[in-house]
Amino acid sequence: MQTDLVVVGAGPAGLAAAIAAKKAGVERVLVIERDSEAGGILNQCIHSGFGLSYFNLELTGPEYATRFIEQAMDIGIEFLFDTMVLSVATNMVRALNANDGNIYVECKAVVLAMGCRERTRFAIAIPGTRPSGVMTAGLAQRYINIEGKIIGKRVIILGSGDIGLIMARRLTLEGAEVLACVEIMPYSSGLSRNISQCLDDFEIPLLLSHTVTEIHGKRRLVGVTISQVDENRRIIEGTDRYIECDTLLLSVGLIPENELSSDAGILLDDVTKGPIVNDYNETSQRGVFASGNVLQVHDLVDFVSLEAERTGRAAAKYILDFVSSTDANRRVCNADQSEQQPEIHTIAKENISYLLPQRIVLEDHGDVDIFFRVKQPIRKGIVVVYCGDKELLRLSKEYLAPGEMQLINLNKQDITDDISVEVEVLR
Amino acid sequence: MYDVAIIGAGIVGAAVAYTLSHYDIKTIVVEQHDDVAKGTTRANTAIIHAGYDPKPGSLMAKTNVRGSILWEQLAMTLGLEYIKTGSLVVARNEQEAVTIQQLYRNGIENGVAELEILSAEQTHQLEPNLRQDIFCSLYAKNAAIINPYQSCIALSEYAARNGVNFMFSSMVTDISVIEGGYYVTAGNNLFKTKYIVNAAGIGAEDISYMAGGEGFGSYSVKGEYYLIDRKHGGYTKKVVFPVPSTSGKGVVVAPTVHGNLLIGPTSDRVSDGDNTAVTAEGLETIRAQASLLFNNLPFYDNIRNFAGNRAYISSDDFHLAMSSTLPGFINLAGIKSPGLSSAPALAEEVFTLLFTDETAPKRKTEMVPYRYPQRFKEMSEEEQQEALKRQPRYGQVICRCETVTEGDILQALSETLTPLTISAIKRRVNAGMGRCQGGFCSVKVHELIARHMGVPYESVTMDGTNSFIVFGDTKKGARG
Repeated sequence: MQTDLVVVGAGPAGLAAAIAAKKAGVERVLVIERDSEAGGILNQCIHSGFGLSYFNLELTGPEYATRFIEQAMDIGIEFLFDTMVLSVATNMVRALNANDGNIYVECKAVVLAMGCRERTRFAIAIPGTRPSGVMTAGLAQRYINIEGKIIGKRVIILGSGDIGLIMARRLTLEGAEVLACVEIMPYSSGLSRNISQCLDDFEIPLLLSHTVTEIHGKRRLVGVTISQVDENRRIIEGTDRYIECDTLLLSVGLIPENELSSDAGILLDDVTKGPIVNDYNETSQRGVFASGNVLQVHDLVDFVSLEAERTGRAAAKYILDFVSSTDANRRVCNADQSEQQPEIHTIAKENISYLLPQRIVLEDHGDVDIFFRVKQPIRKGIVVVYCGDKELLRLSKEYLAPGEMQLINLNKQDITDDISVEVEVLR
Repeated sequence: MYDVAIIGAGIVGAAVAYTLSHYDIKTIVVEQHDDVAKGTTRANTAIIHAGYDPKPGSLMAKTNVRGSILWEQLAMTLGLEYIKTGSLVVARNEQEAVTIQQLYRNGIENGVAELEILSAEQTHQLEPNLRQDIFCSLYAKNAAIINPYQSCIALSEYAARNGVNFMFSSMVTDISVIEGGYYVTAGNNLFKTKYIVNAAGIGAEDISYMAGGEGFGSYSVKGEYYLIDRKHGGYTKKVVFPVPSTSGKGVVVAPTVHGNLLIGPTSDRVSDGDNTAVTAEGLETIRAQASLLFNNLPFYDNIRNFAGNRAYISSDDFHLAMSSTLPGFINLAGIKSPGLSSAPALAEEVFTLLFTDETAPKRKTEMVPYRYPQRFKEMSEEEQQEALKRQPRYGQVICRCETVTEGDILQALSETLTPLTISAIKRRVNAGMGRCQGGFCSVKVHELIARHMGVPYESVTMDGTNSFIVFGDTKKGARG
């Protein structure tokens, strides 16, 4: 099998990247999806709130996905469904499905858009038994919204990430009693609108600086112990409380799914858990790009779409200018080819957990978007951007939260040295 | 009327069933749970020990050394996951080195081949992640790792296909002595048997008392574990033990046959043999103990914690004997470590206790062959093509983390002894055993079991009785 661009995953990132690449002139774009339809996790997100910034409309997840799916179909993007990609290299993707068996796709470039997975109770090593009734919020969402099944009646939610908050409301609407949303941090990592619409509106308590310290029940969950924690997240003795419940949902973080990437030898970032990329979202493997939650866990799908469109256009440029060009000197992307140009790194400093992209390519002009997250909530802070030792930019911010991704736009002409970003906290 | 009733379908019961299936007798296995391997067999360190630990002359020494040879053969004939990794017992100081010398002499006396004492430098060459300050080690080339539940499933499936009856979800509640045998009440069943093999693990003493037999001074010891992501599978190549103490073999760091890293167990006496809860203290102990030998253990990539209980008795040795008061009633008690290693040899011992040369039953001339079904992931490319021709659903991946296909699951569901639970499928084909712990595939396995086996969706449980997953339909109802 042959194509120009393979996109791994037909979720929001894969769809937007495929469409942008095709529109930018790539003749053949093939999207490979393990599920039986396109849309990815949006298909089970039946609540509204999607598209506010991208479409200026409030859409449900499936509605948001449908707009991209229809466009992809219209412009002739090819899809392979129920197909699992088993390995990836710049010019070859190996996949498997029930119709064709083992499939080898020759291609010119690849966009990785596999999304992310949920952290489990074991990732945070909650002690106790291992009964049924303990599941990740996303799995619960699938059972309820896709399979149409009730998964619990008395529910505790651990973690106040957005999926957990959304599920608190969804379960309440299905007649379950959501007893509390328990958060180990002194603040929620979820969007403030979700706290208000999913917890406050239903009078579901948000217990900050609390965590689940034991899971009880030999077969089905019968209860959990929750305890208060101090500022170092250590359990405060004597604050234990047993709560009878049949369900514990976990919304304790997402991890980019980069097994294919690391098998391909692609370098990953310890903080984002996604590939290290340049401003084209090209990974350390030439011609392999990454976008969406496989690159960094996003808060809003709208930003995924925008990021993936840039990635799709970059992949198109790579294919058209470099691979398909007869002029060997025309190259645009060089994440791992530092011998010709000084490699510009981005460096997270005080109060910043990560910056993306990690590298900037200076061979062309234009601007570059730099995304970052703060480590903890900051009320009144100044974002300072440095180029080497030189201050490039100061932005005053009323409020910064780890749950809300920030964006800085820089002109490449101003970049001569490594870029570092920090936040000064005003007291 | 059965000739032999085996109580308990753990690794010992399964090995006895496997052995007896080669003879022309009627055998039944009675199990309280819905599946084999649900007690100690399910949660242990998964090691076939070389045999240098047990006291020379003990039953433990004899069956461990013999068992480790038998396992290598069984792994070949049954197609089991088995890797002869070798093991190291690592001493941290001169004092511990004395124990290394003792273990070496023990091993030689027990007839263990391929033992060697290594210097710190030689030990580091084998395991570079060990701490710099170690002293020396005992290297046993014949130690191996195995998949305990797969082994138990395969032995049982072989026995079942060769005429052994299995009765699941049937807890034994009464055993009465009758002329020439016993009446056994198990679940809703009542049957007669000439002999009883009590392989009930941590429940063995209860079973013995039930029949009016003796006690063994039994108690349960819980062991907790960490299972680390496959990406750290290469952290150790060999099974690495600390120097043993009075409380057991200590916290082990070992690779698993699936490429994970297994760290544990703790060793805590518990009053409730059914208590397999993991504790914060236990996990802390594992981290502290393992860090005495190793640098930078990757606990941050933990994918599961679990605990299992092992059966202890007042004696240090295994108890395997005909009851002193009950004729034809064989007890296996205190089958703690190295019980897994010893199981096939214990089964041989059971046979010689049951039958004399004169009473020995006829050995069958032909057996129904059985090999554990190979998973798609493990097949060569030619084998994969063959499998896809036979069953195209081998092309549909269900568990993304462990690359388990629908074909693998359908194969497991078509075996004789597979119960219809999500965990039973997990134990058989590894679906849900990876880093996402079933976050994506458990709902697909759930649906496959219901659809393929024609059972109601609500009736599918995670792991048997009362471990139900869904309560019914949402207001809008099920899809479709």
